[in-house]
Amino acid sequence: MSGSLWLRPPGPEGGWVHVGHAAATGRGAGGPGPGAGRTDTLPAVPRPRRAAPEGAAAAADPMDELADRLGAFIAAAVHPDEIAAVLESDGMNDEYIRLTYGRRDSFALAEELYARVPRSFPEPDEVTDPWKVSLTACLLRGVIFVLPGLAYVLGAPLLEGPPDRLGLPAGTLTLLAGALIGWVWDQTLSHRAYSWLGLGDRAAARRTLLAGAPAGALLGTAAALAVPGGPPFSYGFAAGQALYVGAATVLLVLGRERALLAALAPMAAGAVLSLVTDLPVPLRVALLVASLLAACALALRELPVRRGVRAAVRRIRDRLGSRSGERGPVRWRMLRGAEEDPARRGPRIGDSVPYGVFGLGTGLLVLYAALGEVLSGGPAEAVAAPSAVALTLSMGPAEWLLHRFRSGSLAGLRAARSPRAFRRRMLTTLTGCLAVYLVVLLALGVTGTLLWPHAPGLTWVRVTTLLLLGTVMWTGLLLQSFGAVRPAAVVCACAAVAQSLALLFGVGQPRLVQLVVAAGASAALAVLVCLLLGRATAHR
Amino acid sequence: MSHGRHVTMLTEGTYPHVHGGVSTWCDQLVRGMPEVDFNVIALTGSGREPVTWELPRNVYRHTSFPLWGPPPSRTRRSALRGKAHRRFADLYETFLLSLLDPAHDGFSEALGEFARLARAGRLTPALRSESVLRLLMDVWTRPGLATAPAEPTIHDALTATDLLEHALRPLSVRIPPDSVAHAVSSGLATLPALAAKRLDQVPFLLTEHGIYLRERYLGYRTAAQRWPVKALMLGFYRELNSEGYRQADLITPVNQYNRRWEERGGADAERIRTVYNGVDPHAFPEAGPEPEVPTLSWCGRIDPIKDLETLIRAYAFMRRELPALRLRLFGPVPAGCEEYRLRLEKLAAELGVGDGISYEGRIDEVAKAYAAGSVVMLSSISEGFPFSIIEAMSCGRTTVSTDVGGVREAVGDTGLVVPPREPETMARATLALLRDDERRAELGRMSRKRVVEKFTLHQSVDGFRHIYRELAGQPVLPVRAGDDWTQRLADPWYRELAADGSLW
Repeated sequence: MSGSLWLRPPGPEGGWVHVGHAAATGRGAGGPGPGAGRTDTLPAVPRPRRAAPEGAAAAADPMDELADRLGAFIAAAVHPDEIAAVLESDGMNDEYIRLTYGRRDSFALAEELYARVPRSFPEPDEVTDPWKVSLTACLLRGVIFVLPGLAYVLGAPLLEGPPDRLGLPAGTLTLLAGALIGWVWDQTLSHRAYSWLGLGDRAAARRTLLAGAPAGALLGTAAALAVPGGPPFSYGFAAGQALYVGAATVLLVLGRERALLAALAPMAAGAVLSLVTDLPVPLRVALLVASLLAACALALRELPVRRGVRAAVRRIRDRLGSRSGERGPVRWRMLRGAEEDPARRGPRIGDSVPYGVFGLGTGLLVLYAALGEVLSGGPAEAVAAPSAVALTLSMGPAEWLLHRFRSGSLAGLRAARSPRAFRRRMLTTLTGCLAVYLVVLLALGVTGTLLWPHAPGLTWVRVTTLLLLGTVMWTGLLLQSFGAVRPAAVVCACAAVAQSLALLFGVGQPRLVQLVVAAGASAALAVLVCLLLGRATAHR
Repeated sequence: MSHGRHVTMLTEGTYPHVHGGVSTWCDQLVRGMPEVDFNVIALTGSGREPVTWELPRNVYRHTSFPLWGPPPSRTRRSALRGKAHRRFADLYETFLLSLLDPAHDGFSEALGEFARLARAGRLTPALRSESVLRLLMDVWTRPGLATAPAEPTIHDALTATDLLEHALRPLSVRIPPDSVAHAVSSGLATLPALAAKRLDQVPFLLTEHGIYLRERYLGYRTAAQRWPVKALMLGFYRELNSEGYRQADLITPVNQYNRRWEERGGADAERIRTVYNGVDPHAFPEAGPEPEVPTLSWCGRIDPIKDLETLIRAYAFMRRELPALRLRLFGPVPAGCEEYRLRLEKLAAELGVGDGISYEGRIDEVAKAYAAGSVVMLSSISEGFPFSIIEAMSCGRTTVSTDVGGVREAVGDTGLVVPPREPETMARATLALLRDDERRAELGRMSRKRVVEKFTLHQSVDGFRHIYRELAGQPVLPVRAGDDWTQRLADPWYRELAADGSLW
């Protein structure tokens, strides 16, 4: 044998790939997809060969018989040598060819067969769609994004205290700061872990998560502690929240959604129950701690903890001990200077940072959607919580629609015979998917407002802002899923900065500012989407 | 300036990451020449495949170059612009036409320019641009080309461009200019050598075990791509193969049979020199008496290319005549072939001979696998110059094997050679041998003698030692009979290796 074993991209042949990070995984790269499977070098050549029927058939030209028997192979061949390869693999050697067909060798015979049979272009048997995902899986993820919110309901009595200077419930800002920083870290970390998974290296993804998740938990807690003025319990709550974000990142990246859902069950059940009856505080704490511990335990079970600790200890000891690595037998000797290693072993850290920036931008925009008016001095009742919840809940359908879009654009690539035709099809699919998403978002927003106690009414301005924000989120995620995260991150970050500045300096009416910023950002992203995704090369 | 003591070995999907015949051969070569410094560059899939061979000290560097990992680190982000871009577009058009239309040349010049761009980190971004994609669509649909009626789609263009971009990545690999570039297969492994030959005048040696192009043709049948992609990619492999044959200073097939394809591909007959694989007769000593129960022994990877179905069918045929006959299959099941093994077990059960076949797995001392058989079998449909046959011969066992690749040259008149995929013929030949004890013993003696005379490891390694010196422009050392220092140097490690069971 010789030659390559790897003429197709390595990597996971199945399993969930978070669409937000799909670009990083190289899935859907033009290479032969998951359907390619192992190459079996044995073409199934129709037999029988030598057991030719005696008598009548023997009189016929053996060339005709051969052309007939191998017709499909010959017609699909790209070059006469391909036929020669098939003939030889069938066991025909030149001696046999001279005796039976009167041709010099397999090449001469193949050339004749190639000329005799007209070309035909058989389509591949199975056309795989790597973007097919189940709607339930996406909805499940959407629910998992929202469920932790119930912890605030369950923990509400613990957070009691005088409202802060903005009139918000005690500890709100502490928790929000922790959650926002945790979310940003989580975005960066999960992109890096997904990149490893995309390269087919699950162990490296686990190591990344093992190092990254605890660091994120510490960072989230530190961010919460940095905001003064919360009730003492809010800091404990923020620490728990940070731990949860770390554990959830691990479980979501490694595709353990169901386990995470099970871990959340006690807390969610308690929260629902607390809406009906008043639960004693110890029980509330117990339920919160139970869910947190379950999530952490499940996450730890997925990670190579023991090996990681051992490696860390070894590294620290090496650092403290002798610096020379020349102990033990010398097995390597560099006789000639080492050049730069052409093979970078893993994904660049710098590639993951824009995902964090994008997370920060969108996180701030959602936050402002909920709290913008309050932050700029409005009454505490103006908290537009349903908008924020609707945006979070819609992430499940959004993810599914992103997959639908990729699936639709792949079908477009397969059908289009010119770049222009492809562009048309892509735009149709895009409009359809975005419209469905906005309808879902609107429905969620309306339902939330109706169900939420004391929610501010849905005015036209609020509806428009919600839909524009939805457009920003979805198109941003779309760009991110195509690997164009940098422009998406820049637009979202600029929008967040603009809105922060307007808040700080008290420029304009907050609702109006929000509307204008969201409109600007969605217009910018729409232009980017049309420019970038209209090119077929973006759809690798 | 090269002096023949510094060699850059280029592999694709084999040494030192995978076990198999080619890897064994590479290991023999590297260990057999401790005075030569080897720089091993292995083309791999993701770049994180583990090294499965222990590298000797004279391998001073091993680099794994991934075809499918992230783009090479020196890749620039920006595409070519203006004049440079127009020049690239012209070049790429010539390149595409040379792949699609055998009458059109220009492949060689285009590849040389691509090498320059690749070294500057500019080839990958250039190939990923939108205009290159449009160009491919335009070329594909030109009237007169066979791809036009196949109605290529944008998806085909994207797929083909991606495959080409990945396949061309090894062009950016640099080879030390004072070394001899030794590609141990045709195809992608020759790309760095072709670039170094053109840009740095590095001598280029090409060794072929199997016929790379033939394997690409056969392997592509199962790929799930449309005709235009297949035509372009196989066109690329064909032109690359021919370019390797034209540019190599010397081509060393491991058997005479491969010459047919090489000369067909444009290799100058004068620059082809066959160097047979070798085996150490000390590591594979005379096996002694045959097993008491008549037994067929087979050694190798359980892999579809070995066509074990034919062997099992032949065995079933023989069992009817010789009910005591056993079949022992020695060797590992490589990853991905588990299903094949199940298929074999099912076939044996269907034929009612499952009880006589044993799967022995990897064995510690390979020589014992040959000793375990009265006759050693080989049923492959494609082979270069199979180690299992010359090793069996060295153990003094006669063989029944299929007439593929260099098998006939290895066996000569010391065993039986039958057409591939004909179980009944194989069975009749083997039965004849099994029934004639005297003839079997005589053939076994002749087998051992043939190996000692023609296919020793010493001869094989020494052949390359001389070739390296010759290519480096050094005076060639005279070969004297009985000059067996390679063998003496090689002996301890080779025994170790044989005990390792890693000889396939």
